[in-house]
Amino acid sequence: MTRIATPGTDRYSTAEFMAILIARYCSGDRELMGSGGANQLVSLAASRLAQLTVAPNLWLFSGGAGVYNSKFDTLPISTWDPRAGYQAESRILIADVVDNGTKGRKPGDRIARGGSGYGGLQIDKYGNINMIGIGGPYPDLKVRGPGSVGVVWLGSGPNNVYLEHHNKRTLVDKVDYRSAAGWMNGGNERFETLNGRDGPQLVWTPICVCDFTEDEHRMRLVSVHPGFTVEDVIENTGFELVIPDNVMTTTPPTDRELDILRTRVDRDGLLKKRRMTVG
Amino acid sequence: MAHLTKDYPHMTPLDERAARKLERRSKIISLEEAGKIIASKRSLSLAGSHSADAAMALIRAAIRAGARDMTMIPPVTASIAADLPIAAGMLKKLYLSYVGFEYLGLAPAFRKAAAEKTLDIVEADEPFIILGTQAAAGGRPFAPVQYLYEAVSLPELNPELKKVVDPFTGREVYAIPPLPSDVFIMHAQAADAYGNAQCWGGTGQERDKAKAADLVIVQADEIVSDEFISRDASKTTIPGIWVDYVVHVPYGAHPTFSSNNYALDEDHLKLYLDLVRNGRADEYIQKYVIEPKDHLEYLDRIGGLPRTTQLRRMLSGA
Repeated sequence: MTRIATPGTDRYSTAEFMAILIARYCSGDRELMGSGGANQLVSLAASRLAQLTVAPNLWLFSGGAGVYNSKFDTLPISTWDPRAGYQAESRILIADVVDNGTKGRKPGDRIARGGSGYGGLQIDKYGNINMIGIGGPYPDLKVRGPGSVGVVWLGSGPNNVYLEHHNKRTLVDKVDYRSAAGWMNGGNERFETLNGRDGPQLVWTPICVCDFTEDEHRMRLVSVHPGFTVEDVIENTGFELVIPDNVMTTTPPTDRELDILRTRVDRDGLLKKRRMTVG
Repeated sequence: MAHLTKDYPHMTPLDERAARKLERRSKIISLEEAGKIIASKRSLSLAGSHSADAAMALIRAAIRAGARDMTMIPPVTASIAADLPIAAGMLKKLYLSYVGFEYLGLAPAFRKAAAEKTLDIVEADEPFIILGTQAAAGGRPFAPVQYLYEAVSLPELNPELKKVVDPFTGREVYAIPPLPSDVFIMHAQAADAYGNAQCWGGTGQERDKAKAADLVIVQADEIVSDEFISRDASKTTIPGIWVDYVVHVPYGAHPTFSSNNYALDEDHLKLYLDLVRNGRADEYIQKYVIEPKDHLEYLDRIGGLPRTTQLRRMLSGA
């Protein structure tokens, strides 16, 4: 049964919470890239929030408008929204974006990816992403996906996965088609195929945070958000998650975090209205 | 049973992290530090056009820092930005498209090095440098071209041009290798401390050269605030995220032109040409590259404020 993913309190919304979690993850004085390419309100809010608080050297990229470091205090409806370019520092071309994407990253490169993340129609236990379609054989698809956009090149470098809906249709054992490479079929396959390039690190969902095990690269539960249980996560995941013996409860947002988010990043309260689901 | 052992930053509230006040980091370093960084690398790429917008202050600093045996990927047209490093023995290898001084004549140090075979010259051209740079910028294995080199001498003279079969037509075409560089140096009229750089001239080589390099150093006539940069994002030639270091050098493009800022110092170029053509390159290098203890002393030696003011005024025609 699909239901709205609520944190069990009206103090904050799940979308606000996710933005705060990702902002916390970006913390540090290193340079990193936070970006969104579409209607990624949570990524955008997280990157802006992090930049204002704990990550002054984060570069916020609004992919749809092609601009770095806009200084919005109300969220644009998507990254192509010209308001996403408000007081930006630079504007680049899609050819530049593609060049940066296909060139990839070497270990030790100056810029890491932080606030950015992507999702898809399906994601599997190794973090592979499908934007092509569900069912088959191709092209007889049950659901025709929108296409692979920028996730092929995004997936060729380290990234984070971000989902607004946590259910068995989205989190599947094996993707029907692969638009973005996660850890492929696990183990070292990705390193061997993509010249040693690192793979997905974290998975943010409305009910939990996962990462990948060190050797097998299988998705592993890290923390469950307040209002949900480990059983909720297992029940709504279409494959066997690695469940550690010390799964944590995700630290809930503080009043200060919510205050900064609502007064300096999302003054229109778009994240309060954003609906995320479980089941 | 699996067990979590790593640190998970999403578990710590921003309040606790923010207690340690972090500031946006400035990328500004001194000219001499930049010179040492360049001198520690093996390959160098440049932007600019003919005698405009060359990163001359950085080139002089690299020579002072003892840069030797470097490979240069120059802009498609270069005058003193290629000739002075050759005169100073900084280069081992040069990808050649055009090195010369146009109406002022051929490039003397380049000619001498070619005659004495002290420089490995790769017989290239504009497409070779631009498409090779683009290939490196996007991490592509090579750049194919057709109906171009088949008809000329370049493939016989340049072993780096190779044939490859076009998988779509089955025909043989030429492949230009990717031209990455260890460091790209660029002159900008304005930059902020975070690397956002405005070139008010430029030929569009800047972005690809920056993407194709491991390290990017910008020298700027002026350091501006990030508020200034944010007034018009479309004026930012190179986004700060691509830039590693910024150096503040007013008139740093001298003796070349700095677009919309100050004019070419043609008298100085003629002085350079005259000395190098008469076997006195060392004299020039001593006086204008080695001896000045910093950039301000260089500016004194080229005529100080009266001369730089004159070069600015030349742009207005006044």
